[in-house]
Amino acid sequence: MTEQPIIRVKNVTYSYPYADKPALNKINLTIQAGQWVAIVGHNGSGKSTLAKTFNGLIEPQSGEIYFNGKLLNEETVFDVRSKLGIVFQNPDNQFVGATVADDVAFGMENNGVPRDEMITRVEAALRQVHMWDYRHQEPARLSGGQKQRVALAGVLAQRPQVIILDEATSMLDPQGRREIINLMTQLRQDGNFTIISITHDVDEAALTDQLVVIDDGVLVNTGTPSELFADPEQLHRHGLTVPLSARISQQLRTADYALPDRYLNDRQLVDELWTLHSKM
Amino acid sequence: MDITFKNVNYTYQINSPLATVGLKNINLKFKSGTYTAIIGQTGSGKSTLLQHLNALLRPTSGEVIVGSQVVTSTTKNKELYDLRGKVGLVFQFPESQLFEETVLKDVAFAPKNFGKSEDEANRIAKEALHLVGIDESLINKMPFDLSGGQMRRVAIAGVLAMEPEVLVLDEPTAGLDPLGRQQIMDLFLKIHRERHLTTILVTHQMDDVVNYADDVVVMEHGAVIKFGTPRDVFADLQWLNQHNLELPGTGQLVQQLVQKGFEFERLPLTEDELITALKPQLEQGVENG
Repeated sequence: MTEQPIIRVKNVTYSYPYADKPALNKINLTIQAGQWVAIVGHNGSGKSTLAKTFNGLIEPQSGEIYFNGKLLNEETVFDVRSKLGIVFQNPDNQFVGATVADDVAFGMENNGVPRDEMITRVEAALRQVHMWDYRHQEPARLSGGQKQRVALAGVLAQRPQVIILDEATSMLDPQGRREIINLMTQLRQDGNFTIISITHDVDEAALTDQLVVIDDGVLVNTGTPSELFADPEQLHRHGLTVPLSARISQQLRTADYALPDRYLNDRQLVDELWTLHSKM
Repeated sequence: MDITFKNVNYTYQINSPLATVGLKNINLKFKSGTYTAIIGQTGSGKSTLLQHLNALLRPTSGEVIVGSQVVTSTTKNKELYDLRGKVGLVFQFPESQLFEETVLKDVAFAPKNFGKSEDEANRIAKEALHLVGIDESLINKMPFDLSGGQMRRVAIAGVLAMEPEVLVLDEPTAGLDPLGRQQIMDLFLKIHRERHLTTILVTHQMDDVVNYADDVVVMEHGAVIKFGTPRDVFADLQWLNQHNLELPGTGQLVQQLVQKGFEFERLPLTEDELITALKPQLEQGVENG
C-alpha cells in the first residue's frame, strides 16, 4: 500500500489496573484515510478501549500507535487530539455550554481559535448537522438525537481529520438513531473525514467500508460488511448479529432454495427471491 | 395482580406557568398474568404512565387501582408501602443505580429494606443473582468492577429480589449488544411465566413487542390511541405510518417484497412468520419452473 494509513495500531496490549486479563491483546490494525470503519464487538469486548488508545486517552503498556505516520507520544498527543474528535455514548454527559451555540464553541475556545473564525465555524457546523435553528436553545431541552447532533457539531467545528462515534447511537430512540446514521452517511459523501464507528448496531455497521471484529480484547476478523455478513455464525459466536436479510437468506438456503452463497442486502434479496417466484 | 387506570389525568407542575400535560384521560386494564408492551414516540407519555404503576406519580385526577390499592391525588405516601413492595420497577440504564460495596449487598438491599432478616435477604439475593445468570464467584466483587452487561443483570436481580408481583420494565435492554438483549428478554419471559407476574414493558424495539407481548398499548401526546394484540396493532401499515410508529424488523423487507409482487394475507411479524409465508410462494415457482 503506497498511501500512508491515517491510523496504524501496532501490537498494542493494554490491561486495566487489577484486571485478570488484558482488555486489548496484541492488536494490529491499519485504518486508511477517508474510510468509514466500524469496530464491532459485544459489550465488554474491548472496542471502546481500543478507540481510546487512538488519541492517548488510554496509554497501552506495550505496542505503538501511529497517526499519519507519526508515533503517538507525550509530544505528539495534543496535536493528534486536535485532529481526532470523539462523540461519546451518553448525550447527557457531554454538554458544558448554556446554549447550543456556546457548546459548539467550547472546544475551539480551548484551542484558542480567534472569535471571528469561531463564529463562522459554529454556524457551519450547526448547519451541517441541521441544528442551526436551535442555536439559542438550552442543550438540556433537546431530544437525544438532537443532543448527539450538537455533540457532533462540536467535533466538526474543530475541523478534525478523524471522527470517532463511540456507541453514539446506542442510547437513542429509533428516530434519533436514524438522524445520526443519515448524518454520518451524508458526511461520508461530503468526504474529507475518516469515520470510526464503535458499535454493535448492525444497521450502522452495514453502511461502512470495513468492519473490525473485536472479542475479549483480540482482533478476530476484518473485512467488508459483505464479506463478514456472509458468515452469520461466526459473528454470532462473537455476540453479534447480521442484518435481517442475511438471516432470512441463510434460513432459505438451508431449506434448499437456490440463493447465491453470499451476503444479500434487502434489495438484492428481494430481487433474488423474485427470480425464484416468477419462474412459474 | 390486576391494574386499572380510570380516567387518569396527570399534569406536570400543575398550577404553575410551566404546567404541561403528561397523561390525558387514560382508561386501561392490565390483567393479572399478562405481558403488555407500551409503545409510542419519545415524549408520548410512556414513562409518565409507568411511574403511576407504583405511585411514584399520583394522578392529578382519576384513579389507578393496583390490586386492592386505590391511588388518587390525595393518597398519602405511608399508604403506599405495600404497593411499592409489590411493583418492581426496572428503570432505563438501571446499572446507574448500583451503590453498595458488593454485588450481594446491593441485591440484598431491597429485601432487607422490606423487613427480611440478613440471612433471609442474602438467600433471596443469591437466588435472584442465580436467576439472572450472575456467577457465584462474582457476588463479593464491587458492582463497579463488573462489565456493563453484568452490572445490568445485577441491577435487575436487585428488583427481582423484592419478589414483586408486577414487573415494570423501562427499555431494559437499551445499549446492550444483540446477544445480551436477547438473553435479558428471554430471562424476563421466563420469570414472567415461572412467577406468574404481570409484566409491563416500555420499548422502542418492535421485535420485542411481537416476540414477547400479549397486548400492546400505543401512546401519543399523553393519550392511549390504540390497545390490542401485536397482530391487531401491526395490521394497518398506513395507520402506523401516520403515527410515526416503527415496524418490526421484518416490516421494511416485507414492504419491498409486496412492491415486487409477493402477496401476504397479513403482515408477517417475525422472521419465522416471514419464512413460513414466503416458502409456498417460492415452492410454487420451483415446481412449475
